[in-house]
Amino acid sequence: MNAFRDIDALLLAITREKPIIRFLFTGRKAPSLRQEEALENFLGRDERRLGLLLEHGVVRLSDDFLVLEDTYLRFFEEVLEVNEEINVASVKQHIDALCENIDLWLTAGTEVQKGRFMAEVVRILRNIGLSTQRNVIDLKRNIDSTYKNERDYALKRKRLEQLDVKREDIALLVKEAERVMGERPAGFFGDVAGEVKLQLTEAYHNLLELDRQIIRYLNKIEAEQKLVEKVRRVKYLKDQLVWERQTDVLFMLQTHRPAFLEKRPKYGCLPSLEAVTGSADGLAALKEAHAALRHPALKQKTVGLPLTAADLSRTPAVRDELSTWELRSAFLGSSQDLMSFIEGYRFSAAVAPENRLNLFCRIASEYPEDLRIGPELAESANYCYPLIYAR
Amino acid sequence: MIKTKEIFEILSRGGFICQDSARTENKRLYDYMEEHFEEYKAYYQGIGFVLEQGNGYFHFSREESRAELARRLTTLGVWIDRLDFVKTFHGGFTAGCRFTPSAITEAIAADVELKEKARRLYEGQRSVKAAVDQLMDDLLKAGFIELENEFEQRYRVTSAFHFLEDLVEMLTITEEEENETVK
Repeated sequence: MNAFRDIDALLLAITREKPIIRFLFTGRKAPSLRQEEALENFLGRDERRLGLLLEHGVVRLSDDFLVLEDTYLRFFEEVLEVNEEINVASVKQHIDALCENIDLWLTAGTEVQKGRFMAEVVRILRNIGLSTQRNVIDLKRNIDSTYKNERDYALKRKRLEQLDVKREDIALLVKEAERVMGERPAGFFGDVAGEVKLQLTEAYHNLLELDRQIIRYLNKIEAEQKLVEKVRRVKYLKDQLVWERQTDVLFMLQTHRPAFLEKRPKYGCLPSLEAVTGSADGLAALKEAHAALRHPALKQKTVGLPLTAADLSRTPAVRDELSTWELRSAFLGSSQDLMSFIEGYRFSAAVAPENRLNLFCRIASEYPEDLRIGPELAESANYCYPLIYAR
Repeated sequence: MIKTKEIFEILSRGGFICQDSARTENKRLYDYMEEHFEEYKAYYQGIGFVLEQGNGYFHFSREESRAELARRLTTLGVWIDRLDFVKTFHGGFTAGCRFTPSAITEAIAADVELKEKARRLYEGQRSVKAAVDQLMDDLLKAGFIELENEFEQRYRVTSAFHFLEDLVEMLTITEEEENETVK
């Protein structure tokens, strides 16, 4: 595997292959890009470009599929803050490096050397603060998204428990970093110490809150799962027609009478006599009601227009219909192409040219298995059509 | 007390007034009822309704039920089927949960058990999609879900859904059954 010459070469390669890298990154959860497809769709069929990516370890092959190499994947995920893995190890490394550099500073003889090690110590301290903060943010995001998006109960529970272990690890590291910092006298690390301490304290408080959050979530999914099981059990008993005996549903319905389980009521009420007799509207309504009561048939309103005499006539209607099956059989016995055949066919009744075209289309689409639809085209006055022969 | 007529209109037809309703009017009613719960309760008691407060919702019960027990049992059974279906679709299907009908249709396509349940949900339905549409309609009419985003066809489950869950929670299954394994 070759390394890129310098940062310019790396940036150039990444910029040039942006489309494929973006595709691989967005599809990182389920690899789906085969080598040939990549060449076809993203690399302009240039094998050298693919070779370059493979050689420099930007992408690799995994079971026929192209995937982003871990280094790049992790880099993009961390920078874009979409990583699911929480890297506790990096903080641990930072703490080890911090101790080593402090030792080096103690043994260093000259001021110049001391200055160099101190600069390194300050850099590592900042990194510890930032990494811890990032870890806490990542953890919170992952806890929330696991709780909200994971549908499988067992997986959700397991994942939350794993995240809880991560939380404990981060908390331990925070304590460890604070211990290392506390071993040195105040002012040893300069101004940066205060800043990092603040970050660590804040992170620790957040971790305590996350602990409560995880417990809340675990309890919630536990309750949800119990309810799901109970619903299933009740449904099973109901389907078995034994729930009246094996549950207290009847007792429950006798003691609880929610309106929800009843038929939606209609509230009718009588009009006041005063309103009916004392107002014009009331009088009109009264007249209408009176008429309806006298002639109950009038209540049924007629819908639509009455039937005409023609509708009621007993003479049967005659309509010309063409059988495409018969026409097809006649065509199969001829050697002409379909359009010429239909145009020349002597129908027993007059058929307009546009109806002949219609017949052409119908036969072509209804009996394709009997026809040979040639690639040659022919033109007539108004349209262009394929030459169709009997098979 | 205000809006006693509106409240009666909703609750007496078996509806719910929820705390988290997207309709401001409904939500305002809830807040007001919560503040003056005792007054409202006494008021509706006079006409034979018991105002009850659940977890984020209000509903009516009757002192004397007009419907027969058998009828109410059947209605409850129908809702148990629907509850079982949505819980199989998503174990976390409860108040506050957001979903789209197309997500349910997709889940049905990928899950044989869910497909079987969808098939039995309504008699004589034409397709899975028709069953899901019908279910959405029933949940919507009952007030258990609300359309949150029309463009994305995204629905949200309201607190009233707790009512169904509470009904199941209230049931006690006898010991002998508890020991049996249930599919």
